[in-house]
Amino acid sequence: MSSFIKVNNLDVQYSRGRRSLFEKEEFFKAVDNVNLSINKGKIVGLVGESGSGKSTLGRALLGAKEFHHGSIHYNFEEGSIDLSNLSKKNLRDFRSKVQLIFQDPYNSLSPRMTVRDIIAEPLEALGMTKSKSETDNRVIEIAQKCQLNINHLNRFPHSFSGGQRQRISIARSLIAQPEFIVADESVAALDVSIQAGILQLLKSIQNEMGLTIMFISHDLSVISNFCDEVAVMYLGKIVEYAPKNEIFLTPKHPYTQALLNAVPSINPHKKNIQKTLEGEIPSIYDRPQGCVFQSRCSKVTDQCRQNEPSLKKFHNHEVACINLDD
Amino acid sequence: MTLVKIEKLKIHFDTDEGQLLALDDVSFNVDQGEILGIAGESGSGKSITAKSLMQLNDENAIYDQNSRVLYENQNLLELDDEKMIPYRGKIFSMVFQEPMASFAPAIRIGDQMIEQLQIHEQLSDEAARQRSIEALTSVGIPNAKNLIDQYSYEFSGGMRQRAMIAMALSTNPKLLIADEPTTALDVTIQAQIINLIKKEVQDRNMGVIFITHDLALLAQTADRILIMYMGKIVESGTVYQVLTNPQHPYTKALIESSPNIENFQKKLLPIGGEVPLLKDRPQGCVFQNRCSQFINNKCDKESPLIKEIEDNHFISCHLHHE
Ligand SMILES: Nc1ncnc2c1ncn2[C@@H]1O[C@H](COP(=O)(O)OP(=O)(O)OP(=O)(O)O)[C@@H](O)[C@H]1O
Ligand SMILES: Nc1ncnc2c1ncn2[C@@H]1O[C@H](COP(=O)(O)OP(=O)(O)OP(=O)(O)O)[C@@H](O)[C@H]1O
Ligand SMILES: [Mg+2]
Ligand SMILES: [Mg+2]
Repeated sequence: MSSFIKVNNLDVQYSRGRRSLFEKEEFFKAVDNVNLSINKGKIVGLVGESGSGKSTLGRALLGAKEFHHGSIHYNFEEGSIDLSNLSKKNLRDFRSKVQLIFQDPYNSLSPRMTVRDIIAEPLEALGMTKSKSETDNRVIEIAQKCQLNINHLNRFPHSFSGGQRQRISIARSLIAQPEFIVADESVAALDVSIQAGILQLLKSIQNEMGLTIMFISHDLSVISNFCDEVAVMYLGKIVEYAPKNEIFLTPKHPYTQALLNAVPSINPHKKNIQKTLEGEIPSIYDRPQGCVFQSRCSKVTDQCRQNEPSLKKFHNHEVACINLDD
Repeated sequence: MTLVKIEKLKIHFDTDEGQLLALDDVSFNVDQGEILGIAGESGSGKSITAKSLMQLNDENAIYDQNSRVLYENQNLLELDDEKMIPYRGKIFSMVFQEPMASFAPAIRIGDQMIEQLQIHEQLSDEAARQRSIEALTSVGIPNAKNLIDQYSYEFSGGMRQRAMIAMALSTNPKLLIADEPTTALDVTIQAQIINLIKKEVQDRNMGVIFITHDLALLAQTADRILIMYMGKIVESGTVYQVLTNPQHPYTKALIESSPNIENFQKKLLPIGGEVPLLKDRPQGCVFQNRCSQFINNKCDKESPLIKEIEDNHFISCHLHHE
């Protein structure tokens, strides 16, 4: 089976500006030579430290950030799409099939729009309905699915709690019936008691609609609970990609192992976060030669300082490390 | 030995909607060399409890007459601003969630640390600078001698949080109040900060109040835990009692809704409903509208008293009779 989304050798850059008027503009890679295949109907978790490039990769997949090298292909039922080479019409079609769920339920909803208008916006922007009543019906349908009180649709977002606002965001991103969703830290701001309900909702809708989701988070406990597959990013690179169980039970990359060791256990009898990574993530502006993780890795060898490891199949994982032992 | 004793702390906020009860008879103590964790959902009163110790709540806070914050037999709530100075950075020190907010962007880290020290101690500029460098070094900032002259935005998140802790510890406080000190940090950096705080507690025999939403983080740091809900302590005990043998339905529900990396097949159970607004504080038990074990005519009528169900393990719930 060919995968739903296929990313090859993807680089995404940002400008660092110019040092002076006479010098050339400088760029750095926030996403560096990423290869990734995502199968249809899967929830793929993307974890990694702040600044590792998770949001940038997510935005590139949505066609919301241009990339400089490599390719992104989507295999839709109606045919495949090459993101670097889209006609206006295809771009419009593509936009109707992918959506972002906002990160922050407190600031991302326009305060002067009613909840109905917020939810309806993607439909209207894409011209997907023929009449106001058709739009209204779609809004009501999706609002019910997201367990929002449909008698409150004419209110403004400020009168809703954090959890309800996140339901509004979700309703909005689902109304145009996308096939792929990027959820970027979508539950990070919520209390666990509310977060659990939002995750449940997302999962059941995902099942029902056959959605594919990229779930970006730096909360490994949430990822472990919610996702099918997990990709671990470090300094713009994917260093490990594997099914959830594989990642959490038998992590292969030293960085993945270190990350898991740093997650506090809720069992007080098991004191677990004593031994963790030293040092900090290097600056993305001067990426080291060789492996990106070398400065913090306990297994580092001279080889690692010279050759950049690429993702290789190892058991059921894809791992970018040259010092793997069975 | 008891370091600070909080008795019947009760706070109303004077607002447009009237005087709203925000903390209701909160009592606890912190011992020397102990990390006391406070957990609970957003708005449960964790931060205002912590701020009460330093009298740093907003102007519209009204403290009840019977409320006491006792340190060395002195009720700090009776002190005026001037007498409070040592409790705001010397005897008590605080670390906040967002270190960006605590360091002024236009002033060098070192200058802020020196100023903070000189408020509390008579030190020459040179001596205060030395002490600050030592403090930065002790929290693992390499090359502190040079870095001390940088601005906070030149530091990474983890470094900034370390510098913040260094500043809080530079005055040798007896009590460190850490309000979500790692929430904005990556897990690997969080682990470093936690281990740093634990080491300092041991070395200095200092007391710590550690506030967080994350029960797992408390499992790894705290000696005792208070679970707060709507301005009340609903359960308290040792970290083992509260997390491995929780008795209050709220504590149980919180644990059941928390994802757990060691049990990732676990089905997460959300807590139904939402925390009521302060102005809608119910009569009877504050948790009644979300409780799965609600008792009609009891929980909606009477406020449950605090009961000790085993040694030092307290809950406030009608399900437990003497
Ligand atoms: N618009 C931009 N212009 C310049 N640099 C940017 C821009 N957006 C992001 N960056 C930089 O690109 C790198 C990757 O950022 P990105 O937001 O993708 O990281 P992230 O993994 O999502 O981090 P976080 O967990 O903090 O959200 C960072 O160094 C960031 O500072
Ligand atoms: N000055 C004020 N006036 C009115 N209400 C206030 C004031 N300060 C705090 N509150 C209210 O008191 C309650 C407790 O607030 P507090 O900041 O202690 O919560 P918290 O447990 O620290 O929450 P979080 O986890 O979100 O930090 C909240 O309902 C808050 O809105
Ligand atoms: Mg991001
Ligand atoms: Mg708070």
